[in-house]
Amino acid sequence: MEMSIWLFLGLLVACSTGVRMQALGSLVQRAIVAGALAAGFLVFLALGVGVAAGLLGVLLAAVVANLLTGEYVPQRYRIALAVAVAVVFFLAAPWLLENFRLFQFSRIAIWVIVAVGLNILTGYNGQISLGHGAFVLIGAYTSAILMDDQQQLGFVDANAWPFWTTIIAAAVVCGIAGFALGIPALRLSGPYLAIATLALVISLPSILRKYDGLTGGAQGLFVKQPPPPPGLAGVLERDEWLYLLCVGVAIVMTLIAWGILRGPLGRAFVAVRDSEVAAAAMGINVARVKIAAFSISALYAGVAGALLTQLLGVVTPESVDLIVSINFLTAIVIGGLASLLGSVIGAFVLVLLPSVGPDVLDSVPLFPGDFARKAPGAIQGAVVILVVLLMPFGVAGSYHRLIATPPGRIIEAVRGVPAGIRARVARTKEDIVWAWEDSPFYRRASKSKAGEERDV
Amino acid sequence: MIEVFLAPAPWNDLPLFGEQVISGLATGSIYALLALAIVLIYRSTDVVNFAQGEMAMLVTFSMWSLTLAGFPPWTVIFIGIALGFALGAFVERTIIRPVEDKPPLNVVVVTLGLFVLLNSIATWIWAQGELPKVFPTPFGFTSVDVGLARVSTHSIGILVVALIVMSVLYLLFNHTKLGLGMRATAHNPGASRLMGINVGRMLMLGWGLAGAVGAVAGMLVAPITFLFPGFMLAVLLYAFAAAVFGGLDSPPGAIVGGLVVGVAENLFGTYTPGDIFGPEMKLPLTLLLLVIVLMFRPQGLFGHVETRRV
Amino acid sequence: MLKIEGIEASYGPVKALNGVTIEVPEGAVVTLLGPNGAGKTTILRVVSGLLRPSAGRVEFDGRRIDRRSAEAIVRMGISQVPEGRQLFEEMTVHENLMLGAYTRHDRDGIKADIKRLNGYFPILEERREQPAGSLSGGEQQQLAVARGLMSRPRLLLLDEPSLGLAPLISREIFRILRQVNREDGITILLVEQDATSALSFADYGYVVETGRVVIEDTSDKLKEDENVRRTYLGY
Repeated sequence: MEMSIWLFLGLLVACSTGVRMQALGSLVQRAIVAGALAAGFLVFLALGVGVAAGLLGVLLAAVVANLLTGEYVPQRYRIALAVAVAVVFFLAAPWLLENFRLFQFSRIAIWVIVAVGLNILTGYNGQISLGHGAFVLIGAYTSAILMDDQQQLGFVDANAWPFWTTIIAAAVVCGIAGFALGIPALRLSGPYLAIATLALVISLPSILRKYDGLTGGAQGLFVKQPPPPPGLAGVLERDEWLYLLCVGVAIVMTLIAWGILRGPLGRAFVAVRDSEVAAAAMGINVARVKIAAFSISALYAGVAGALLTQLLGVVTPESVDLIVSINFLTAIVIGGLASLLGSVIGAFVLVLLPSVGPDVLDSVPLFPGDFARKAPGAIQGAVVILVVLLMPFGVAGSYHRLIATPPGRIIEAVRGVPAGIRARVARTKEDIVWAWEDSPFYRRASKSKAGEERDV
Repeated sequence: MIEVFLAPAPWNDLPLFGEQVISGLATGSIYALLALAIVLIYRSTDVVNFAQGEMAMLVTFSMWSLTLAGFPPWTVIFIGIALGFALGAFVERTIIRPVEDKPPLNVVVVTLGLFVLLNSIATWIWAQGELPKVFPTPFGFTSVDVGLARVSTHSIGILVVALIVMSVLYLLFNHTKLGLGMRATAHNPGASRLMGINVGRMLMLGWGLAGAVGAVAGMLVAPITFLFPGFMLAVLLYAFAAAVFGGLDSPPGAIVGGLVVGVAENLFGTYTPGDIFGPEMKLPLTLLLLVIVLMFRPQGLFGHVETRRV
Repeated sequence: MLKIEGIEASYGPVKALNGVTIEVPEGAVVTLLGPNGAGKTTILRVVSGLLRPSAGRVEFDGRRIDRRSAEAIVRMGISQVPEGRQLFEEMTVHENLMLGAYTRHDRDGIKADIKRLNGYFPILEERREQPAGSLSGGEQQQLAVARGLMSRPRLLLLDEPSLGLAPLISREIFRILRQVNREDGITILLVEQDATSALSFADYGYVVETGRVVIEDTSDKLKEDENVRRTYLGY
């Protein structure tokens, strides 16, 4: 990967993980870790194993930053700095990255939108969907149909709609579709809902192929990709403009999600997820909240689908297949459920893993390169399984724990359960005690007498 | 009379109708077997195993290699069953057990990861040569008359094998001490430990049995669909439909669901009006039927309503 | 027979036991008293191997059992009738009893034991083929006790057998337990909220509060104790 990506990752990790990274141990211990990382970095660099050196370099940056500033710079500033680094990098990316990498990043931006939407539904509201690919496809087709000027479809308006109006239209159409599917989903739970939504994503391609008068059939629909707006025409290539469009929309949609989740609706999502009975007792209309989550989530997928049409210039029934649809769920679980950061990380991992994974294995001496190239899914599957085994609450969950764990307990920090999530997994009495310990109520109660009267 | 049927109406061509029903029952019993595997695992570990089809696929491919090496068909089938058992037990012990006490979604994602992993490995090993490969059937493909209809011997073989597998499972679960222990573990693992039951071993056995049953389904369907790395996907989807239709925690439900789905698939393929639906819409129509059933019975036809345990 | 020495145990970061020492002599009935959340159930969970103590040791017949699995401990002759009964509700009464005998292989002995227990609890014979979940609370508790006895334990751990039962039924259960203790020589460690019946049933008692033993004495002396009387007996 390009130097600029490594620099960006290093800066980002340095800024964000510097926060009280005491899990690594005392100052001396951290210095030893830094030394070991530096040695490894140099060894891999000398061997020419680029990706491994890069990863160690990123970790090294984090530990050094922590050593230098960990005790003095408050977390708020660090997070702000990390966000600033990320924004600058993503805006400058068209001039820093190669074309294929830029295309990958555009795709990541689109997947971030889907992942954020799916996390609202699954992570925050507890409804499992394996069928979000269907909403993406519906959004993509909505946009493509509206942008057609009777070249491919007979029934449409002869004047093609401007691309940005079709994004809004896709959002509306999918929002309504999500609303309509949210109502029957009320009756289903857990695996039944998962399989019903899976049925949706499996059926859609056959339907799209069958009714070809409406959809262009098996060969799909082509659209004219939007050129850069007049003011930017001289500055940007079309691909660079599309990249900025995707990233811009992804950032706006993530901020909107952040706003929703912090507000009353977001709290209602979580309350319904944790206990429908208790939520209803607090006066929350459970059905309305669940349908709202479905609808908003589908709307996000629709926006992503419309952007996908712009980016690819074509949409076919296979544009989003079953595996991609399933991967959305995988992304948010390994990124981190109920975490916007987790959605972003998940989208990155799932787009980059198939392309970077073989590179990494190729650069490992003695590893059969043939395997890595011919079985990319094996790497992806193995990484997904390992991440879920090692970080049960996703990368974001481990990150949140890492910055708040007492010294010297890094393993516990990585495998532990982040605050607010424990209540969900309570199955045994022990789990309930754990959940209690991490819930916001515990901190309040433990100061009074109530904390000691739990039944253990 | 308006011509709405692709095929002559059932009452005009009873033999065709009979053939469709019997071959539907045959494929349906394959769905029933895989659905049974899914239900076995769901009952004991509360997990829908998305890798069930790919585990069977891997076993079937391995058995294809054995056939190529000159092993006779029946030997291959029995080795396949043993391999399916071993694979299931191995998967439970190594990658499922560490996530068993974690949120259910984690286990789902692990099985999804396993799905991708196994599929990719099979592609790597077997997709170099020509695809799809021909998998032999010990029953042959001769047509025989059954009443009015003509069906292939392989279809009859499928029905017989499925019946045998189901009877063996029934006897195991209801008339042996091991089955008693496995059922107890599925109902209440905590109390089972207090009875002196080795819960971990029961879960491993449950996954092993599911792997074996799935392998049978894979080896029975491969002669029809031919063998390529994605050949179990469609079967898995119909099996999911069957399992959910019957109720994820009900083995008899899985069997009934499988047969219903198999027959429904065939009839939708044959008798729906071509210009509106037609054979290519049989999967969506079957799944629509499933969703309609779920609207009225959200826990499936024979499933239990989930009681919340804390 | 059972020796618990200085065990500590926690649920995650929450400490439930702070060095508990208890001894149960062969043939005795010993009871643990104390308020909700004192750690009584936790002690039983440690003994039966469902929870590993972080410190201290548990000995049964002079052999250390605190590192053994729950299955192994059942095989050694300890059986627990858990809190809330934990029956296999969808399975029949007979199947529940057979599960109690899961560790045994003597078919005839199992048959004889079922017959004998049907003598103690005639209702179980009547309800033999019914799902355990369809039984009334008292019948379920009888089944739980019978199931616990099916493994032919030498030590029976009972967790709140009278919880939620009408006084008449709970008295009947205690009567049968006494018979089991005297005639079959089964040692009993009982956790009970109802201190009155517990102390009239047991020979010796421990009072557990916030994860520690605060008082221990013979039942008769505990009944006289000013604090125990006021807090647990209520007069």
